[in-house]
Amino acid sequence: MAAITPGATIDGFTIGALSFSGGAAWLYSVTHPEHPGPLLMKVPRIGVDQPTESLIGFETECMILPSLQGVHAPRFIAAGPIDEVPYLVMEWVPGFSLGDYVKRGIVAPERVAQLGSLGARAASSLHRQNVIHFDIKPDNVIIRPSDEATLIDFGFSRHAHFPDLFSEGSRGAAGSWPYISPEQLDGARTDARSDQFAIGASLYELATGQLPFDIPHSLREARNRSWVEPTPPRALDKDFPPWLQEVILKCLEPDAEERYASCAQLAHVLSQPESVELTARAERVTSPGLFGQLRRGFHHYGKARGPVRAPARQIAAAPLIMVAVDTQVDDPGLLQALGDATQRALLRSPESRLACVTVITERATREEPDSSESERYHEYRVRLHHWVRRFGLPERRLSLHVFETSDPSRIIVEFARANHVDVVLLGGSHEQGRRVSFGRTVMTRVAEEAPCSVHIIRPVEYQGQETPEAPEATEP
Amino acid sequence: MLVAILSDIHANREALDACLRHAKERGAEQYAFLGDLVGYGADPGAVIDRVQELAAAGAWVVVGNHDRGVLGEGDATDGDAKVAVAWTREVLSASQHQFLDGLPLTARVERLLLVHSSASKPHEFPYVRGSEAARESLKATDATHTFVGHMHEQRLYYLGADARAYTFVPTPGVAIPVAPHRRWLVVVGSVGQPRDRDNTAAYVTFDTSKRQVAFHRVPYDWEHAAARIRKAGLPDFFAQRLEHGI
Repeated sequence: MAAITPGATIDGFTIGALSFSGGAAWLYSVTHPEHPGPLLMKVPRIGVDQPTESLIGFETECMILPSLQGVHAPRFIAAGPIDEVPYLVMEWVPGFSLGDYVKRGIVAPERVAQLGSLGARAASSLHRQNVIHFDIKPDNVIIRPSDEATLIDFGFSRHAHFPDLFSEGSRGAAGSWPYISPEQLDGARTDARSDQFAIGASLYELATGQLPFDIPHSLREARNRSWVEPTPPRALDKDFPPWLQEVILKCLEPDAEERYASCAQLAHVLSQPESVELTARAERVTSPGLFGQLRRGFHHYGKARGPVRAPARQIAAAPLIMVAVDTQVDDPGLLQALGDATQRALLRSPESRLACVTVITERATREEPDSSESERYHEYRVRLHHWVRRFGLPERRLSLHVFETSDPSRIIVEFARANHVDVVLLGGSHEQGRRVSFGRTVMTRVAEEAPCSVHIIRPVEYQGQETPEAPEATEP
Repeated sequence: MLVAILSDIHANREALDACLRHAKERGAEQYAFLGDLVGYGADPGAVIDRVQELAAAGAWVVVGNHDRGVLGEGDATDGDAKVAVAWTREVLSASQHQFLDGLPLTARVERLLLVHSSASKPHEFPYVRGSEAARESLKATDATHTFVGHMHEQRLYYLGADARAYTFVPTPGVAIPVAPHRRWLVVVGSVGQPRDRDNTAAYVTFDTSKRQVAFHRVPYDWEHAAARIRKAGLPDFFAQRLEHGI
């Protein structure tokens, strides 16, 4: 099939300019009277000289793109029958790709972390929909003007509930070799954490201007990444933040078990440097010698890969649990019940993390007019810190957040949405003298508006009691 | 159009009713039955009547080896199944016999093929057990989508670019895109006697415009179906199979 002439019409789409001509496909800007906004049409190159992989890639994208929801993948518009008029029309994603950033030179560490967090969130959104991208690289991550990342090009992707066309025969390593994980090079296509490796490689390139591993000329060379340590960013720039080096090198671990449990966790640590647990990875300031390389290789060698769950199940095993604690209310029973519920949730998932949130409301500000803002903030943090001590969590599994607001429910919902929280634990309201803990409206609004599960916790003392608003029971 | 495709009902009225309700709730407009309406279960007459009713309204129906056994044709069943076949022959009415007798081995609807066992030698009722047998079937037809039963488990096979058949174990309830430029073989599972240690009834729906196939599992009152088998004096093992999905 040859390129299409601009001005032609296919199934109601008017072909505009050719915007990209790649090895496997052409991309045209197109318009359609019923689909507003700029659109992009991908037309695969088909012919005897084309590798089968490129058509399988196109077919894979046609299968997966329509199943994806949300801003982190281009919106699917239409597809033509592959055996007749093959094309795929999707939203034209506005913004700059991380590849554009790479071209402009080394990116400052703070911005690398920010971009990484956006990219990891986008990957996490796909994983929740049971899709692993498998071809994350700077060119495939677009940062929208809204500061959200969208991943493009699903030609190597896999949907856990669809047949994987790339598992046919021995197709070998599908993906962009400079960025992909060692397990992907071996043809393993089931672990969502493979995307983390590619994010780590992309961030490394943004931060240092070079690839973590040399451009491989053969699969054999590419496999070196199982035992070759990348030069630590701090060896290239002595001022590079140790915490960010820790995160990037952890993503680049050859064994998926050594990476973060999920891309949601990766996104979280990239936006919360204080929650990063520093290890020897953060300390490295020189290129590892032969001994270091051997150690990495030895460590990785012979690691058996266990059965891997579908991405959404994998994420469910490593949830971000958010607990909203009202430290203002004097209700030990409620705080105890909330603590017990949190403990149960943490025990159920050893890979989980806990985000503790409390709010300073205007009432508190009114009642304590003498204390300064920073004093109040500090005091609340201390209370929160005291409350979470009972769980004995290591730092990497815990973060504390204090917000000053007149609208606690909005803060809780926004926090849950921004951080991809999996479950919110919240104390149930109950009249306690003249105070209503966390307000009935807060509870109701969070339950209605949060983008995830919300568990309302009530202490045993409440149970069997009527709430003040409940209608009076009448005798029959 | 959403087509509900059901197979291997095996005289299990409770499972059939549950699947038909399930399909109707999902907007099924057309029905297909891939044979083995009878055998093992205690309600062959009621099942045939229901299928006959749907056939009169346009449903597609093909014959299975147990149906043929009841008609006294071939030696397609063995062991305990023979007992069921003999029992079934006694309880069916003449018109029910006649309905079974009129069923074709295969049905072709545009680019879809419906057959009880395999497109390859359908009269011999071979089992599509694994990708080699799937390939035999896929190569034997130019239909883009072949739907079969007989295996009592759900699988999706497709022909790769290298002309080999590949297998996929479906997740219930997920609509899978099955574009017609490839050839697909859908093993729909058994309504009335699932054997994959999951005792829920199995069937599939196929959306002809979206070109998506969805595999379904439907809980039904197996206790009642098992009690009916015992009451009819059929081998107890038939009842146990419903409980354990074996």
